[in-house]
Amino acid sequence: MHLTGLTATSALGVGMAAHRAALHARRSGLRANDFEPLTQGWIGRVDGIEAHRLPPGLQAYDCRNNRLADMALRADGFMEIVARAVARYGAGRIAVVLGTSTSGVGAAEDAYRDRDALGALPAGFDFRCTQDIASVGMYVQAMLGLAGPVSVVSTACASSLRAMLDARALIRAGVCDAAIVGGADTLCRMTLNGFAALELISPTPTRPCSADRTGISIGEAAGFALMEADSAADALQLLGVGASSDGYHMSSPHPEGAGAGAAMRQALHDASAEPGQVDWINLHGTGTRANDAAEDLAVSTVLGTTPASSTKGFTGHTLGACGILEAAIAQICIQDGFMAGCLGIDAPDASFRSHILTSNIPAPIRRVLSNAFGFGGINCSVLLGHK
Amino acid sequence: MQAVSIWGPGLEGWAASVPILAGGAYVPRASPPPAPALLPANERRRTGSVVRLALAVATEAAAASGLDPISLRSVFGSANGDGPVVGAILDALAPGVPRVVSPTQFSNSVHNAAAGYWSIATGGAQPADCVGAGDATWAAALLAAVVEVTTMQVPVLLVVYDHPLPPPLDVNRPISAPFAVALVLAPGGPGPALDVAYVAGPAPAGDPDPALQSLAHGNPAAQSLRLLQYLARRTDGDCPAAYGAGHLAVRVAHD
Repeated sequence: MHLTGLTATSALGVGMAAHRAALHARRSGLRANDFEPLTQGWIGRVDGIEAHRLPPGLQAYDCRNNRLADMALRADGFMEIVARAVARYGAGRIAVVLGTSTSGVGAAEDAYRDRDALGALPAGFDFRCTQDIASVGMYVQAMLGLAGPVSVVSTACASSLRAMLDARALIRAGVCDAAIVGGADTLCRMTLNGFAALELISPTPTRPCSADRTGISIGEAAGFALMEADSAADALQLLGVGASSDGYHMSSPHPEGAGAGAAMRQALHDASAEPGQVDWINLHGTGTRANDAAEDLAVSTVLGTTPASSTKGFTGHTLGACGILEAAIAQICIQDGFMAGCLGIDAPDASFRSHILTSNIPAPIRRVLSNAFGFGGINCSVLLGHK
Repeated sequence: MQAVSIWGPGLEGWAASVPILAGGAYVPRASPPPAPALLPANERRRTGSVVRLALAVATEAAAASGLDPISLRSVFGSANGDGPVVGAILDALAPGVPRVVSPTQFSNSVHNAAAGYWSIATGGAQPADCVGAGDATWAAALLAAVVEVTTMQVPVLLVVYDHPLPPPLDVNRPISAPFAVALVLAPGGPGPALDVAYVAGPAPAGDPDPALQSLAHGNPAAQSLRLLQYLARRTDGDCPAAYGAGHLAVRVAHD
């Protein structure tokens, strides 16, 4: 499957060129938390969401998450690419399969702060078009004028990778000819306070894979691609997908990374690829003590010393959107011939067995393995690149 | 379709519900789902009524299928996930309330919480998918499960559930009663055959029996009731489900 027109918007900026520039310059998008200062730490906040407006006719969907989705849809000529696909396949033959963890819950947070004397939410609060997990899918379908099936996957931080697996199955089964994949997740009080309650927020900018790492910096992002069986030769391909469950704990990874390893092995098997054919691994690498240690064990077991790094020092952890955002980063690294090393760390944790990059390394790379693991013990891994 | 389960008001498991679904008298009553016996006690006490609702049907359907639960991939569908947990967090975040978000509640607030507990309960490493599609959640989850079965040629456990939201969200998104359904779908083998296709245009009109209509209209997961009635009566027929701009054509045929 090809990922045509892949685009992303995050704290690094709107669209692919902004991401390309920041990755080459090793410039982080993180800033001191000015969204929910009570929870401290650093965040990957996208500029311009507050001033962004949804088009007339779709105002009911107005919330931070759908505004960010709309900003991303308008970047890199994506809407024109979809319009051409509609002419080619028909609107009813293009599905929408997106990922999000918290959708537009920020709209509910605002509404709860504006309850009347009897506790009722303000009349303007539209649950179905904002807080509902499906709202981003409904919005994107309406915005793009599509008429195929819409589904929103919500498997926590693995959401937008898992959505790729679902979209591929719909296409392979002949339900549709193409699918809009990707997703959006935005800063909200629930996420920031929740991770703070779990004591997983780093007081400094996140330093994944560093021995003195102290946790996560939460970010926000949206990204999209048109998944289709055939595309231009230079379009990034989804070569393989793997998914697994830990069956271990709701919010802590399996200490040996058993489920993570299974997902990576399946992605390779699904792509009929050997570990030696992977050039670079973009780790889930959230910067927590437990995640990075478990992922290191899994990566070194499955892929030995294949170069690996986390790009969350650039973008923050964008939760359900990290899969599509890091697919966009994989495309940039493949096109430009480099591996983006961890940002903000001097040396990898000496106890790690995998080969962690701490600077950008120029190299011709064709295949990137990209990981996303989530609460509930859900693991997804994808092999992206070219055969 | 290798196994089926149901849980709702007065619909307490498949065997007890077959006479009602087949046309017998339906008397709704509060039917709290059982505590999930498969979970260790320390995990069980963290589960609320929404997770218990989903696990009740998952447990019954998996057992009835005769397949090892560890071997089953799963698709969980829910429009609203765990509304009581999300509502409690929203209450805690409102101004003037000197409470902090509970770490356990935050972990349980993810849309895939029920799937997470299911994998902890079974110790299974098979992947779980979790989808939401508003009122079309039954159609979306059924379609996701069917294409997984047909493209991967493996059995899949489908669990679709929704539960009323707490005040004040219940006014904005009314759900009339808790309801859950589970199916074990497999590429071949015993059981009725299910044909599913996404079709343009609105779904043909049709409802379950009058006694079940208010439930079918009041909970997205209960849009499965027409299919469940065909299964209970062992009759063949069509039970389409509205799905956005189109609908899901669903046909069940017994041997």
